[in-house]
Amino acid sequence: MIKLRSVTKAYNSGVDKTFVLRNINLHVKEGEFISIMGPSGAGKSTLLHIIGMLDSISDGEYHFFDQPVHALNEKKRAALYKEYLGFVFQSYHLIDDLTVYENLEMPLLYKKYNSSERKSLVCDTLDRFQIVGKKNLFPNQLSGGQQQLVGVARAIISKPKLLLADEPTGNLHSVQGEEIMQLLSNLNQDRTTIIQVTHSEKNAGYGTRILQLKDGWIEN
Amino acid sequence: MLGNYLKVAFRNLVRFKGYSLINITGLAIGMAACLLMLLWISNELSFDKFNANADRLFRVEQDQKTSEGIFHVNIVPYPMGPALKEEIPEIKRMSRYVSPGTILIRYKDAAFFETSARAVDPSFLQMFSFPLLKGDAETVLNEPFSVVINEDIARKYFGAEDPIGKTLTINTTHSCIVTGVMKKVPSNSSIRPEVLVTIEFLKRAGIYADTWGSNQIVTWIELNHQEEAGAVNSKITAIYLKNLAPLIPSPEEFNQYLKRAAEFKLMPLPDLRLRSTFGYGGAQENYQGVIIFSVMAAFILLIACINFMNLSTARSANRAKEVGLRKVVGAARGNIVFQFFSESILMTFIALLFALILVETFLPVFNFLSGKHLDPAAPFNIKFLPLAFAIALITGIISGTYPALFLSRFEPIQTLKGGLNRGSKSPLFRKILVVLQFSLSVILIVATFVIYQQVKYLETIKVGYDKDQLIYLPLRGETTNTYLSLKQELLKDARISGVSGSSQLPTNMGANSGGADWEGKDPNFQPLIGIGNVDYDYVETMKIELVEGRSFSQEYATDSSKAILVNEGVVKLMGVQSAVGKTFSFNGVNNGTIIGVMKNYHYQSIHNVIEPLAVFLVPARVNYAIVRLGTGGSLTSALDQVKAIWQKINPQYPFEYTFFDQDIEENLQSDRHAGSIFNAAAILAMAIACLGLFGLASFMIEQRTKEIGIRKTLGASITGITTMLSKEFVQWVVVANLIGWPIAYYILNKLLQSYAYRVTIDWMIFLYVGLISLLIALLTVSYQSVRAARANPVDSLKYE
Repeated sequence: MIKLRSVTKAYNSGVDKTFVLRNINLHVKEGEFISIMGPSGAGKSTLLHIIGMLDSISDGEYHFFDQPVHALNEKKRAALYKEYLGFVFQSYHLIDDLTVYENLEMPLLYKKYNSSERKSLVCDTLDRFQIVGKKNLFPNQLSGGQQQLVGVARAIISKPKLLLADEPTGNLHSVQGEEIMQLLSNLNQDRTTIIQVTHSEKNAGYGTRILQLKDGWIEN
Repeated sequence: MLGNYLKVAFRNLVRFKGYSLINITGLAIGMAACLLMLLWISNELSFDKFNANADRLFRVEQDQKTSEGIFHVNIVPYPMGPALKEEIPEIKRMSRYVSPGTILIRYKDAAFFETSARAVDPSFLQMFSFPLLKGDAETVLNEPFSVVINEDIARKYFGAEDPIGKTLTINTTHSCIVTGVMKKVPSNSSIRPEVLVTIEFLKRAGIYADTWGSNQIVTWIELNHQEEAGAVNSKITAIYLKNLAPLIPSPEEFNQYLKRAAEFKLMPLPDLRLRSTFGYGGAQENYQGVIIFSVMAAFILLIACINFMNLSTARSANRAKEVGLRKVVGAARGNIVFQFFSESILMTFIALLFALILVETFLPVFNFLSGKHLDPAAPFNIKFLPLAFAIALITGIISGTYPALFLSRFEPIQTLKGGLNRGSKSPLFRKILVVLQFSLSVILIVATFVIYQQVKYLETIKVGYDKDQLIYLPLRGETTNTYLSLKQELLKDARISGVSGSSQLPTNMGANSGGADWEGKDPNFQPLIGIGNVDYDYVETMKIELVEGRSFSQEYATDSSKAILVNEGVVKLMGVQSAVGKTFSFNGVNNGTIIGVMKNYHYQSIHNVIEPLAVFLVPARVNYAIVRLGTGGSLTSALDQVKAIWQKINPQYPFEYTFFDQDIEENLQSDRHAGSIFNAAAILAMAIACLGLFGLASFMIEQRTKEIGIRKTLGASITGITTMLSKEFVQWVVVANLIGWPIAYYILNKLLQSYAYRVTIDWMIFLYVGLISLLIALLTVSYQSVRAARANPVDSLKYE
């Protein structure tokens, strides 16, 4: 599903180049649940953003389902992205001015679902995550765990093949964190490929494979 | 999708109430001002276009070639109209149009002076769209003694009676039968008759000059096809020359004349209001007004749009996360752009609602300021409302463009990490916008000052005679015949210190003519000279200063046929040291003698340059009695005395009088209107700009809260911080002034050109405006900066 070949990411800082990622080679098959670990500044989030097509690579090749992402133009990349990817963030990132229902509906709007499809998908999802009672609340009326639940629900509502999660439990206390991890694990069993960034060994344990990142290198 | 956008926009609006209030208020005021001006402009542009035949109606005009250039005239000889109709097949109808002067109309006990009577040919009502309530447009004016009146006049004389067939007495001697009743002429018509009599009637009443030798009457023609105008022009010139030839006896003289013969031109009716001119390249004042108003409307709207842009982008940090997020869940840049456009358009439409309320509320004020009579229903006119919507839409798009492009550029990773760079300095583009906004305000304020000074200046212009306690009495109808006895009676009273008369309105004399000749004149020099026809004692009654010579006197028997008074302008034309005693032929006086030279005085509106003027003694043609009230005794008792004498001599005619002061004052009205409009526009522009500055300052200071906190913990004083925060704004205003000044200078210099007598722009004005704008801007931001500076640093640092 994902092939990274000799991927490098560098920034120009004055005269020198600062390398964030160096010579990364990575193959991900469909159905995997990968945890990226490593100390702060190791390049975990950058790697996740590159896989998520939010960031570009400086050198190397990135193939996604045999499409050369590094060579695609903005439009094609966006199309690919829209079709296959979902994102979950550490700080949830829900839109404050929209209700739970409307937050869930938003990705469907951009993906041009018609209104009856949207309605049934949102209702199914609310049901599945057991947040039907909260659908008319605004994000600031929810607890952190509930917000992240909505965040995950929003990420998977249009059935992405790949779910990317950047420290999804980082802002939650342990009970809530476990619930979210269990949820991700369930999604993985339903054949959604998941890549998460995490600091916690325990959370990494939910995955099928762990990548250790240090100073931009993958340690194996 | 749109629903989702609008929902977010609306919730945002409610959540940030202060911001929304500033934004919507600014937009609403800007749009309201803009709409008011557009109402004014659309009213101006609509003039005369209601006429169904407007495209095919033309006024016959001519360019006269004189030594000083082309003198444009929009009247022609009396007999020309019928001759054109007869000889030019392209002309379908023709009607002349002339005022018979103020006439006295009587029906039984009701007698009034009517100033808006016009004499026309029978086709008039078929050419122009002035619908009849009673009577048939084809025939109402066929009989010489028929008269058509409008509904108001009908009510005034006849009340509920049916006027048709009733007899009106005009000027006590002529009986005319009412054959038709017109609807009132629409307010956007330049041609505004209330009473129509026939040209035939003028002829019978002896007010008709059956000569090709002088231009006296407005003549309208209707062509079969609009495109024929060009061809008709040359035909008219040919017919004119054919008829003029017999009046110029020697062929050499006629050939001489041909070199500078007038060229006739048709002026289309739709151009009448805005594009008609008179004289040497006369100003198209209404047209200038339309241009000035359009520019001002655009200025104010632009200022309001800039507000919107500035506030929206200043708030960008608050929206950045949302933008990033929408992109993460699949929004393309286009979606985001569209979202922000729909937001700005929603905003402008809410503002439009308030703007329309403001327009309705302030329409009477605007009418008062501008001297217009706009209908309260005008803003909701079926033609105007779409325009208002279009303005809102355009405003929404203009003000939405920059925020949309700016905000949609945000990259998700930057915004979601929360690391969006909130620089303490504003981006260059936003600076440019604020500077632009203030420059526009500066220009408007400078304009207000200059126009104020110009009006003040016009008020102080010396007219060249003593205008205090000086009145004139119009001699209507038969009262002209009583002038001499009136004068005698008036002079008997001690409270009246002088009486004279003139044939033209004394505050607007000097209709000009060519053909003057004097000893030693170059035959090729053909200047136009104004003509005044007056009675004895004119110079003494008016208290005009004589430069040399004497005034008209009964002691010289030849004065009534040969004496001519001239002003300094004529002496300058003649190029002599002393004009007194020189032979002068003009205005039917052959080999007359110049007996005196008057100092230049304003015999017309003070807007006009004092042109050369020759004054003739014609006591028999006095139409206006000029009366100087004495200094002894009260003004009212003197006036009462004049009234009593008038009523004794003219019991049939009501007593009317005008102070010279009043006429001079009236000439200043339009300038005052212009002044007050500029004043209002400048205040509005400045208010909107300050509103924007206020909003901007609060956001910028909010962004620097942490910096302020740190500085204070390190020992900065409140004054120090306030100064630091205000410095940037001061810089902007200074730059705005430096940009605005030269532009204002340039524009106002142009504007002042239309005044014959004008102030030179005082450089102190620029300094004042600079100080004022600086002060206002400082006051606006100081509230925010002082508050920020006084805040406890612990509060501001806690949040980070």
